[in-house]
Amino acid sequence: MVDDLRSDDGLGGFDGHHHRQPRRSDKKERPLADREVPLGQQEQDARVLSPAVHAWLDGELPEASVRKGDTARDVEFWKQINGEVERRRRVHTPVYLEAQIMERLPQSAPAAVITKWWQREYVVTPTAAIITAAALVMTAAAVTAIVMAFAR
Amino acid sequence: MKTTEAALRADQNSEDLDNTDQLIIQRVLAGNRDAFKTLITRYSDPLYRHALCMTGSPDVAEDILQVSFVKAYQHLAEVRGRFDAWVFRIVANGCKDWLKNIRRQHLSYDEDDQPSGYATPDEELDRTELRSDLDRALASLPASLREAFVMKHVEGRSYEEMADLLGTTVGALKMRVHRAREALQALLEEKYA
Repeated sequence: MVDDLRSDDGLGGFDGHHHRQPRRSDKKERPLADREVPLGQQEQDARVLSPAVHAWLDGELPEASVRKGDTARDVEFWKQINGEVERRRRVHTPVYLEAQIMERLPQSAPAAVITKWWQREYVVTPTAAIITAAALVMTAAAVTAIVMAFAR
Repeated sequence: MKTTEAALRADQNSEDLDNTDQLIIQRVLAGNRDAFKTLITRYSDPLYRHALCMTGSPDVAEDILQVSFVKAYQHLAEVRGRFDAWVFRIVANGCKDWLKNIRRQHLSYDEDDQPSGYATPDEELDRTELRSDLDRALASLPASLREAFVMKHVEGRSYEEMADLLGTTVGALKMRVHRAREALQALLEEKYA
């Protein structure tokens, strides 16, 4: 049931990291037309679903309120899809993967980011603000006094 | 009232987890490489599910997860805010890059490892068929619609959480999910409705 999942041109940056051989299908590859729906085709064919069905799928309406009239068929359809989706929700990471990731981590600690002082975030507390303001006032007073002394 | 309390408790739990993530990050940055394993264990399942549903292939999903966690480790000092959201974006971008690069291919994932829970062989056959048809239908959707559908239906995220992770609006995401549902129904309803 698995097609060739690893064409040489399809891994975009991930092809250098394979640890396992690709699993190839024993079955003859199906013709392309059988495997694809051209992009945009499904949108052209799409029929607009009732807002009530969307609301039910979003958990905003109970099933009973949409299981009547024209939408009953949609509810049956989406219950089948939801059953399959539910199964995917239970999929777990393969047990060996964590060890594989740990093996591939660099031995050194991650590099610290050196942020320039003017790009850093500073937290200004009321005490720090008062001290800074007082220091600025005193500095300004001292500079003014020196300037005045030289001016005379 | 109970809902509000539950929401507050959930927020508190999320905040606690975030705080512990920050503590772990500090330990890793201080040179404790093994502490990173806790972050992998904590977040690999949802990230793997995302990569698996986006690519349709367990092998590719594993590769994307490995590369993403290594990248996350190397740039750990740059984490600002929640680690899980940050690493999710790395994985999601890895999936999008991979999808951009593949030629038109049908991908489906085989699940020999998954135990069968179906009562009869006929029922199992039907399920297997639905599984591969849904894979094929998902693979034919544009990446943005597939991503929105997977996050909503498989990962069970709220629209607000999706908007936060993808940096877009709730309205835009609702539109994507609605379009994805309608496209999937158009592709599959003849056989399954």
